[in-house]
Amino acid sequence: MSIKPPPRAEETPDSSDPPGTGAQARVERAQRVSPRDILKVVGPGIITGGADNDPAGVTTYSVVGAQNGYSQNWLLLISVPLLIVIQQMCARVGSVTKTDLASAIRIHYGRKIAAAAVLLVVIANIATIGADLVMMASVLELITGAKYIYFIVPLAALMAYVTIFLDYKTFSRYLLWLVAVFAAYIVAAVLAHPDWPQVLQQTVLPHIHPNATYFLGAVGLLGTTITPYLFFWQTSGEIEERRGVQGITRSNLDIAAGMIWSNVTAFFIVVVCGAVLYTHGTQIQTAADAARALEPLVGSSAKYLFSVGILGAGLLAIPVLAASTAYCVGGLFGWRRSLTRHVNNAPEFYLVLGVAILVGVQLAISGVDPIKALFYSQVLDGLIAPVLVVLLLLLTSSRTVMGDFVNGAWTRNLGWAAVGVLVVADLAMVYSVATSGLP
Amino acid sequence: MNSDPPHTGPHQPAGREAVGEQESFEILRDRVRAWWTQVLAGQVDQAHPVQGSNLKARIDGSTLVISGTVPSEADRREIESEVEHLRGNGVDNVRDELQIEPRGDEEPGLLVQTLIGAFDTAEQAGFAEGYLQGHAHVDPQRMLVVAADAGDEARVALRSVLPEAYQEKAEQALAAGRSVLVVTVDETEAFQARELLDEETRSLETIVLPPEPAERSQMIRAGLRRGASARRSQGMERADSAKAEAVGMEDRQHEH
Repeated sequence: MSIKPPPRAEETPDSSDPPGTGAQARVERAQRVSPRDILKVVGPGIITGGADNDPAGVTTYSVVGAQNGYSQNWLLLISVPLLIVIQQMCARVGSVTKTDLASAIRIHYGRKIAAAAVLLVVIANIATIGADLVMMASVLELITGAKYIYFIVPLAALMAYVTIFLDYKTFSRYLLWLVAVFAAYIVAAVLAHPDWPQVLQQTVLPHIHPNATYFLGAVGLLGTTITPYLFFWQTSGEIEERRGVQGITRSNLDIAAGMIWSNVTAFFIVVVCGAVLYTHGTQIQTAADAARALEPLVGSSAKYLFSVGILGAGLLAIPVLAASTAYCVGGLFGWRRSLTRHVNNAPEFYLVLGVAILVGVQLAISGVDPIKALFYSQVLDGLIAPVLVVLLLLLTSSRTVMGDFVNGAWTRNLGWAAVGVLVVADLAMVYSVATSGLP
Repeated sequence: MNSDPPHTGPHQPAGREAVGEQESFEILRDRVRAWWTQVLAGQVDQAHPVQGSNLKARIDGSTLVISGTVPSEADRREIESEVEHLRGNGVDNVRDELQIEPRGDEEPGLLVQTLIGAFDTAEQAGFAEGYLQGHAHVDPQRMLVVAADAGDEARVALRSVLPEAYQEKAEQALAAGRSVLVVTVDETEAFQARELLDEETRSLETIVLPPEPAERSQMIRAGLRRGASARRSQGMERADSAKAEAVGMEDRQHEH
């Protein structure tokens, strides 16, 4: 029988270590990563980082590149350390509190604040699910010729079935290879022969054009890079993997590698769209327009390559978005919640997951323009992100919550810098749209 | 159900653990047996009560196939002993496809973590105490149950094991008529402990305190044990005199 007999006699404590040794120092000693281990650690992170570019992200970067050229590359550059720090804070919340972000906010700041945060994320997630579904259906229309509307329900049903009734983790491992297609943007960018001095100059020096198009692009770019659903997904990932504080170093390396790779891919998407589309005054209004960015690499087959990438990214991202929604709501109400649980063992969790996909389907079949839906769903992310980053900073800066694993000065400063950048971009966007209207 | 008064002090040695803990032990054992019965019936929607969702089982004809991962060889042997009683009940063979996969490469013994669970009644808190005590993958280093109507001594003990910021949360739970279970485990077991409190013993709220060095916790435990010893000595003196009185009463009845 795997149950223990009655308790053993307690041992007399005996420690030769001096009392009051900081917990973090002991963890650091235990978790030093050797140079040989670094590759083992960052490999999965790079793969996961590639998967972070969902259809909404790819489309937003493409629109930004087509509308603004390289003038927002500097935002991508500065968002790298900000994104890394934010995701690392999320992971640390899971490792220290042993619970997800929504629960941690509820326990330490009350149900009302947690409910408000969860509501914002749920709205943004469902909007993104709808937009991703539309884009996936649009690329299927692009390669088959059949109307996109016929593909929405089957796609959603497939993803719901796999996530709820099958093993999503195993399924997602195969999909990661499809997403590797986006690495093609790096080669396409080189073959497009952009003006590299101009690219580099606009990457390191901020160029701001004070108009609604620019600021909408900025908020969309920041929202798709520092994306709220990833905060909750990251924390839940630590819970699923049961990665405690001794794994923080490894987790940090994993996250850094993933986020850097994700932004490198994003950078080249912007560059190639800037070189191929912006220079010819071509706006992205359809999936076919977005696919043209890959023509320098594969010519007329660009639409097939683009479609494979979008389908793979969508099949990965939509279950993650739906699960992230379910984790949020489950954490708010204290339900059983985990993708490793059978549906009968966590019915409320899977119900929310299914409803999230269902509402996304409703949005997708409403006739919304796919490109606009994707882009504005990321603008919405950009608007809510600062609220969640502030809550995250308050949690991870609290010694009551995090003990010795509280934020260091660099993390705290970069975190607040992220809030500052997001808030300034949001205010500039709101002001410019209010004064000159939507472009 | 437990007819003893609610626990108001640290975890009692074997003589006092009595009904609540034994009941938890038996309930956990029954849950494990019930899980295997569900496997035989083809209903495997619940996770194994001890191994969780890492253990998978299914019936293939008259063969019971067990697969997935367990953390050690001892766990594998435990599973094998659990399924032995199924032979002859529709199961002719058992195919063991279990793999040993140690859970994480984290080093136990460095850090500990304290969890606070709030329950509606002292009995439920006592049940949770016994459940964690009996679970193979959680080895509580310190446990304390404090009922809503606990006296000053118990509240002092509670305050001595919690940092100030969490004392208020515990006091709020007690003031709301709830009972509180405080349990300290190795940090590598804290995920499991939280899951058990939240999902198996259904605590109303589970709060996990930040990790702290193991030796700091041991010093607090030593202080608690000295206090508990003093209380037990007083209690044993009272129990001895009560026993003597009871024996005296029985003798007097026999004489009559």
